[in-house]
Amino acid sequence: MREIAGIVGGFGLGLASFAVGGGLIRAEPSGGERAAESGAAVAVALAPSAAAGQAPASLDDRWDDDSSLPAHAERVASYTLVARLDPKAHEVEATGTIRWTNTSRVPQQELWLHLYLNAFKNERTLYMRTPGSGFRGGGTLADWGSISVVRLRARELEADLWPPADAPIDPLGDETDVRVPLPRAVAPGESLTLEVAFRAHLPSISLRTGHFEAFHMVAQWFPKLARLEADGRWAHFPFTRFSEFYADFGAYDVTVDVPAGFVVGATGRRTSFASGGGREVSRFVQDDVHDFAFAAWDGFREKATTVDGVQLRCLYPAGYDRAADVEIEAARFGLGHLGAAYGRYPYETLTIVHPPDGADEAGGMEYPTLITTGGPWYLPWTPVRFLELITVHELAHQWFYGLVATDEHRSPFLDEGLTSYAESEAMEAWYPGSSAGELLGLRVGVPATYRIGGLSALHDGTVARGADEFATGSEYGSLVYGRTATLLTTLGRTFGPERLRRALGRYARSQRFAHPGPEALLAALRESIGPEAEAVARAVLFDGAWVDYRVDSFASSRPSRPAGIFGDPTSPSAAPAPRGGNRWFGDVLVRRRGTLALPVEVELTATDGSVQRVAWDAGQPFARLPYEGSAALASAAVDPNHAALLSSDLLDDAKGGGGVVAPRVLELGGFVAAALIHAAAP
Amino acid sequence: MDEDLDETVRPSASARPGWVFGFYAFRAIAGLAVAAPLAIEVGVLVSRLPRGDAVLFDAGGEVLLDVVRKGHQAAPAIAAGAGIGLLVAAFVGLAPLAALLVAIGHRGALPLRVVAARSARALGTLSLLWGLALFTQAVTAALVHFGWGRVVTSFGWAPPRDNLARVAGVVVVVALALGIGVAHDLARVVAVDELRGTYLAMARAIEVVRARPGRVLASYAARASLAAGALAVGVALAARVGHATAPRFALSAIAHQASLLVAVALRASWLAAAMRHARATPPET
Repeated sequence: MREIAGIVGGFGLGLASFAVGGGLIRAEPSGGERAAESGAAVAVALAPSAAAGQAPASLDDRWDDDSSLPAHAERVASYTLVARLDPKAHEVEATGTIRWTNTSRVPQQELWLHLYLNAFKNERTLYMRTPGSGFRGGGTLADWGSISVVRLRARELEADLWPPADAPIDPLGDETDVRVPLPRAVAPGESLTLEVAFRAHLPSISLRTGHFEAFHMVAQWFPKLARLEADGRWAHFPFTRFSEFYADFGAYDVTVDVPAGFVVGATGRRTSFASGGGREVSRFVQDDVHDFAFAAWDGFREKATTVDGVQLRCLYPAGYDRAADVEIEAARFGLGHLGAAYGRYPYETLTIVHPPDGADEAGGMEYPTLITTGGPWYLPWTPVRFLELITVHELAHQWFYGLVATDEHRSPFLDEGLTSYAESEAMEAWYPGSSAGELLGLRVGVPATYRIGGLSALHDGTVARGADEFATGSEYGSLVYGRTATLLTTLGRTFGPERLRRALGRYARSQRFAHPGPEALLAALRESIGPEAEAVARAVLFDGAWVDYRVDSFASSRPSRPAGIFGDPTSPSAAPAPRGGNRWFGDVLVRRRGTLALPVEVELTATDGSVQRVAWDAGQPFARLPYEGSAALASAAVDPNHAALLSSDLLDDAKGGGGVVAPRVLELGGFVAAALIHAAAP
Repeated sequence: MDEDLDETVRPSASARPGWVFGFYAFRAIAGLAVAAPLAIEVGVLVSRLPRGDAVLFDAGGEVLLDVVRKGHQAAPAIAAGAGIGLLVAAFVGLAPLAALLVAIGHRGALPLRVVAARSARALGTLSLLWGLALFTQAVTAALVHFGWGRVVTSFGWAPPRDNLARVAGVVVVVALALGIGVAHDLARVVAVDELRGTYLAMARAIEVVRARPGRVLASYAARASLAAGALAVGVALAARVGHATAPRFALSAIAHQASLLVAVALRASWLAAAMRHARATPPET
């Protein structure tokens, strides 16, 4: 096999130039439509999109390790709450304070509060009105949920702020996003202390929160300030089916009061515990986070260990011991691997909650220092690594959501997409080639599953959209999770995994405790990999760019004397002797469909087994790649290693196979069928 | 166990290796026939790829999932075809089974026309017995499964207790199905060896089971367990060897087929043992 001499040309170059057999061969430009097609593809690849408006971050190699990591986040919105859970009424009554600072450049005449639990209040809420096929939260509510603010008083302003002067903005009555006018403007840098009292009634388990029998997942349960951007704009939104959250960092100090016998898993470290009067009271404290959730159940079993100074705790139902072991092992691996890639995990605790059967809607979710998993107890004995996947995925959210606190409503791909990639990369490092599962010699990796997922909505719109701009849950999942993860895998395979790792590492470290937008990610790709990588990412994310490669045909032959008339037609001379001796010459017609131009390799295999690999920049929609070798061409394959995993069809990437029966499938299927006949019809 | 028969009339599978191999060959070919539509569908999908379906076994499974994605629309038709194919193969398989039973119950030279004649005479009875056994197994399985399912549901247990209780129900269903299968085998043996009709063959099967339950169970369980083990070993070996290259593919195919051959031989051995039990049990009717 010959090595690639190098990709010459790059994006938009008219000629694909590559070295074969030591000589420089130029692939001729082909076709009159080339210019238009090429122009379209390059324009897609290189034109900045207006959809991404954030300023790029400035990155350098100090972000290649943890030495420059910020120790703490700016305290913008800090909560001190005392919460009492009544598991029979499924209610939480709480009082406390919210300390908020105006960190924007603009005086603020109002606050915006998220009252997420009101999404489950009645059938007129935005959440209930939105069809949500293909995603979580689609079940029928057996018990409505709501949150009632009893008191909201601004201490410094000596003003009661509740009830708000404004009715909810939704004309049909959604009460999840509420404007709270202030009696006077709060200047930049000025702080407010809000005294708050509220009663939260948890719904039957739905969309990450609620109750199932005695199990309670208490999430999105308190009045939560929207995030105030630096330009004075409140990033507030009503709670929709596909949307997650967005908030400022702060310090959380939450005291949880539950009936005796209930085990509580919560955000942060437990600093005190007291019991008496049939109640148990725990105090949880955590700095540098932007949310707080807790699970309480009298059926939890518990395993605990310490990993690199992090107290790891797993709460799970009886009979799930093996599942808990797997999840702890996955967290142990993930803390090390993800910490090395994206900056060390900065908290002292990590709690894993495996909800009981029937409370699956609480599973598969991330909160600061607390993640929920899920799945049946027998999963450890199946060939699918679901428990490892879900644990590593939710753990990866500690970086992409937790520490890099992007706007999950406006740009869900920044948290779910990057997390899916981080999960995929970590799982492949753990179980190379079979990270999703393995059965009967068939091995499936997570990148392949995300690729397939991302293809299901390939032409249904762009990735970079707000969570409320997706038509269905399956479209949301396909593009946000699958397409983004596949994009990043493609960048790694095309431009080098170390360069991508450096780019994402710099992005994650430099944006720790920050709220970056898409431009910061694109800047990291540009500065660490190059403008080509940024262009590809921008095209895929913002313009729905796609690509498919195909080998159309190939041919080769030995030179022969040319036919025709040579010399004087009335007295023709002999045809010139063929050049090249016993060498074989030919060409391969390759095509690149779609609006994305990714450079790929083309593998040419001769009948004597010799292999040549040449580079094709794919700048044109097609190219004829010349061939010269010691034997006839037997096959040709574009991108044989599937570096361009974004390619929408891998089955037409080559030509030169034979036969219409798959022998291995025939043998394996025949054996399985014979065994079935033996077992079931003796 | 069943050595109380005179050696000259003692049925033996090991004495008829050719017929045993023929029975295995039928099973293997029937399996290939059932799998052929799937192999063709996949073959067409990967026909452009130089390594053909070897890429399905590559680490990562990227092409594998693409084949699943592009072939899933044909899956219902292929699955239905495979199900019907399995039933047809099982039914057609009664003919080689009858021939095998004739062969292992006979000592000395065995002309093909004798085998054909005796097999043909028993085919009607074997067909009826097969249908009755299938029906009985299905009804028993449905009754136990759904009845037990309701009982388990009424307990309101949480997993894993709930799942384990249901698995226990499945184990009972399988055990009952196997028990019916054992009686079915005894009836089939009697139908061929004693040329009995359907009713009398069933009655004789019950007689044999009642006369020597422990011996019958031990004969069956030992061979069935070994056969299951052989198949499991074949699967594990083939998976370990892999299918990436032609030599590995050949090795894994050999592992599969060898394990299938062993399983078929053990099944033939069980049928011979069943025949010995039947011959050792004098008929009451």
